Amino acid sequence: MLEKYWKKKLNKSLIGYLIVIILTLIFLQKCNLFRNTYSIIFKSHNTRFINAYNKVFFSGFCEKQSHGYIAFVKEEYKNFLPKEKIPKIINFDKGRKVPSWIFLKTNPKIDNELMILLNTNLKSDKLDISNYQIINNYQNRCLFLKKND
Amino acid sequence: MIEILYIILQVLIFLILFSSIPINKIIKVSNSKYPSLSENIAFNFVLHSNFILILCILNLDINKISIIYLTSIPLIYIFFLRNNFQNIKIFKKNSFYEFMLIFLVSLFIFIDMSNKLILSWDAEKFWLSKSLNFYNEFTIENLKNISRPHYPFLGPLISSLYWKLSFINEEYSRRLIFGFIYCSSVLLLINNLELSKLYKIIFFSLLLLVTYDYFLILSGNQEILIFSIICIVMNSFYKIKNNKNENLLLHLIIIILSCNLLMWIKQEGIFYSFFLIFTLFFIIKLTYKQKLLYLSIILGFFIFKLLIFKLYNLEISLNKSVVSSLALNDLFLKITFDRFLLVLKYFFFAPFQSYFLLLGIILYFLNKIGKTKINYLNFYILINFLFIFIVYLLIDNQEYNLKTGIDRLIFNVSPLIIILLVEIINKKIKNYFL
Repeated sequence: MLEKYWKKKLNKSLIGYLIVIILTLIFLQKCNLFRNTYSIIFKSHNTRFINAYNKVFFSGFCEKQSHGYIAFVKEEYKNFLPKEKIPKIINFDKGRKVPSWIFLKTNPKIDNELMILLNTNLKSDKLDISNYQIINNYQNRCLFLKKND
Repeated sequence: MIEILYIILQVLIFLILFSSIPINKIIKVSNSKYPSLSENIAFNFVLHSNFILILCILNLDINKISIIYLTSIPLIYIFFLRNNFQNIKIFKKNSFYEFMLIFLVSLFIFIDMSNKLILSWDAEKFWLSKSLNFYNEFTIENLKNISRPHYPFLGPLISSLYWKLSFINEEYSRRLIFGFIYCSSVLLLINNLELSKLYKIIFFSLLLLVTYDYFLILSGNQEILIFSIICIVMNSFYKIKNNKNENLLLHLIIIILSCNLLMWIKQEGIFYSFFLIFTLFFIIKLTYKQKLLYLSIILGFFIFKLLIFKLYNLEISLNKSVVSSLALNDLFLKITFDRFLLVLKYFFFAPFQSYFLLLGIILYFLNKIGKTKINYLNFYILINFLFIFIVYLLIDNQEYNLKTGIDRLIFNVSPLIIILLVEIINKKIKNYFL
């Protein structure tokens, strides 16, 4: 009986159903549904965030605004970072915004003991970090530092 | 793995939450015109948003707002259905297709958002910080310490509440509500087509394909919220115009409450509210006193907003970061032939950047050829076109603002393109059968 019902429906408006299917497939391709579903299942939010910002022209993992590196530090050292403060962030690529919003805090205080340096390869003179301990070093371009006691 | 389940759950939660208050139990609706699922969602969204706004204005933090919000919904439901649990006829019979459409499309959009994750320039600069203000349990009082304190904050408020209530702790979960309401509001307008469900689905899919652009609408900007609320108002306009006095009170309430919401979303929302009320005068015959009453209500909302801003020491400014001076002399000096030509140039090229706008222009000319009289839409198109033109004529950093902002301003008022499509198709069907 169900088969007869569907046969009747299809015969009546086969073209309409085909149009719906084609439009749905176009929309699914626009949303990249299958790849995105795979990403959600097999990749963490932080990985997806870093990958998303690697693809934009104004940022990258450790270039321009460097959203990726900051997100990496926030996730990797979440137990190490103070709860109410965020590290000082210095970007040597002048004129770039500093995306401190990644730490998701409201009017946060800056912790001068911790520092994130971005795009150090663009600094004209030599960098003096003798007072700091290097906690993380990405290709000598992005550094996460802690002040020596 | 679990995140995908939370995303599916989030869609279901939104569907249940925004169907929680049945319209027909609050306001008497005509038996032949039971609300559809999308109408119920629209009504609930407008009602919930106004309620959340009131709670925020009382200087409550997000935890208290959540508790009051979550406890009040079942209480309202029980109150209105206390004598009638057996006869819960909330929707029309064939709402299953609407449910599946909204569920599936919202799910696809949510999955896309959970991967794209990129915030727009404006979202990074100030919308997110306002949202974080509420999410991190500060109240409206603290907004004066956040960037752009003169900007309204309804969008960040709503998004932070649903972020707090969500099982997904990440930032993108606050924007899922925008995706949901965008999908429901487009379907709300498409449901007015006097066609079979199959053709409605086709038109719905076509409109989604033309309008869906993550970076324009779901990357943290507030234009999507304005678009959705104007869709809701347009639906009410269409219903009032075509159903004469059926459910008139319900639609008037939706229009008034939506106009209030618009003022709290963006600065230009104030203008949109007044434009919508003026457009209403073209749809129903009102006496002079009634017109004055509606205008007074909207003006009252505007004054109330100013008082709240004053109370919490939030900056009151309509023009800051847009126009340096509102003095008449300075404004007149900006009306030059070069500036006029520049705006005209961007208006000319805008349809080639936005296919949705191109569709709107084609529909407008088809409407003119077909000689269909849609006075209220003609008025609304004219007043919005003039508004956008004048804003860009007088704005500072004119070329930069034209390049970066014109597509968003046009997107704000593009629900009229959908309703124009509905009017033309329905008129054609009526003429065909008469």
